[in-house]
Amino acid sequence: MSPAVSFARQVADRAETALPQASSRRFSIGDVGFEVVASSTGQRHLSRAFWPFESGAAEPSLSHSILAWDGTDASIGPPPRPWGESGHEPLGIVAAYSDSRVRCALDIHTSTLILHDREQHRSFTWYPAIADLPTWAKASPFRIPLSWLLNEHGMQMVHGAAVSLNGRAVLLAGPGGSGKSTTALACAFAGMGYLGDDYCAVEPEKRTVHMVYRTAKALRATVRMLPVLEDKIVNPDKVAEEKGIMFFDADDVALVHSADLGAILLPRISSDGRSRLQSASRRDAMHALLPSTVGGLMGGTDFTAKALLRLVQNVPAFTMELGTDLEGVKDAVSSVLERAS
Amino acid sequence: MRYNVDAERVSHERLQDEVIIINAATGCYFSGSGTAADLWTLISEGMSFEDIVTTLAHAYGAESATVSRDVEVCVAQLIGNDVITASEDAPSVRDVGLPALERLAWSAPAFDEYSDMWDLLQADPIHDVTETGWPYAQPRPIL
Repeated sequence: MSPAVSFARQVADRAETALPQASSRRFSIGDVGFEVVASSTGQRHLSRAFWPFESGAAEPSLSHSILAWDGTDASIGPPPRPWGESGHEPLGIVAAYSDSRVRCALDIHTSTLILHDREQHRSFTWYPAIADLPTWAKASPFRIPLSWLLNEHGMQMVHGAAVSLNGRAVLLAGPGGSGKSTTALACAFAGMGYLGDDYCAVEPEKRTVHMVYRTAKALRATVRMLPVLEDKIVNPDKVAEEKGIMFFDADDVALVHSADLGAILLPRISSDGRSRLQSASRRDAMHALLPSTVGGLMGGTDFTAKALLRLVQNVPAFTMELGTDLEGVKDAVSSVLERAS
Repeated sequence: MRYNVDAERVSHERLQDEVIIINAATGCYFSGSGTAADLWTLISEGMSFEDIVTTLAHAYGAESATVSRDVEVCVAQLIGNDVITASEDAPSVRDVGLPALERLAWSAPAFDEYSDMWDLLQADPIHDVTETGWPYAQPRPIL
């Protein structure tokens, strides 16, 4: 038995001991169904970011289970860490305890142990204290194990926002501060479908994009431009030091599970306040998508390079310089979809 | 001389005339097209330096001496960036072919290198840990 599989078994035993009366909640990303298994506290903080099935909707078959527990009871924590101080550096992957079946990682932002067993179709996530996680972490839970799960199903989680109109979506990509969230939220509150503002899942071969989280993050500047957001923010006391976090319901915006992907849009803040739209190169699209996607997903997997390259080859990209008038953003995004069709 | 690509750290993909190489251990990625994509295909398939030069010189109708010099420079760049390692022991390969594409005149292969990922990997210091290696929550006061 490899060190990775042996450690995975120890972690699985601890998780099962820690979760004797855990509940299960089912969700899906595209056609990939998964369940979150956690205590009531864990479910309250970690499942809220996912959009539950609507009553009467067909549930995808269950592909994977994610078990989550925390260190509020130290007697049922993970086994002692066997890889020392730096075995998880530089990206978080613990190479010595990862192999073709098991991936092991330490999220250094939240000190979270992540273990993914593709043969057992289970992931294990251990947090120091679930209730004390920063709001941004509760808005995008299980990002790493979900990205690995999606890779197994031909999907790639990408750092980007997505909005749709009549079943066709644009993926908004670029570094922080480029205007992704502002564009996505302006479009969503102008009536377009909302598929996420931070991480979405794409299927390059099918040219589709899927919602991962029904959450949004907004800087104070965005809230000032879109005052409707103010009432939605769940961490108003923290917006001075971190972004405002929102969990959307169908009453807030038109939540959309999946849509055809018509274009990749690279928003930029216009230097002269005027909006412009022009074709972008595949290289520009790749450079907008890859660093933050790969950097935010601990380097990705073997599938990531293939998925991103296929995505930028299959889907046209445009640069959109954003003016200060947000009322015109929906029209500009709509024109992108028309131009890409 | 042949070259090894560490599959644990380096993922790569070629589609048509473009190649992308991600080094997950260093947080850098590289993109290239044309002669760079062809060079990468031959390196990653395990072809020897001498056979790479012969294959590329034939494919582009270029002087072997020129191709050899340019390939040497580019290979040094890839080795210097920890993307490949030189190895005398790497297994030899047969029947490595380049994709059937229209090729322009030979130009020195070069990869664009991006290191933006490091900006995203700046981490908070790990919190205090116990002797087990895990940072347990502080006990909460019982009211």
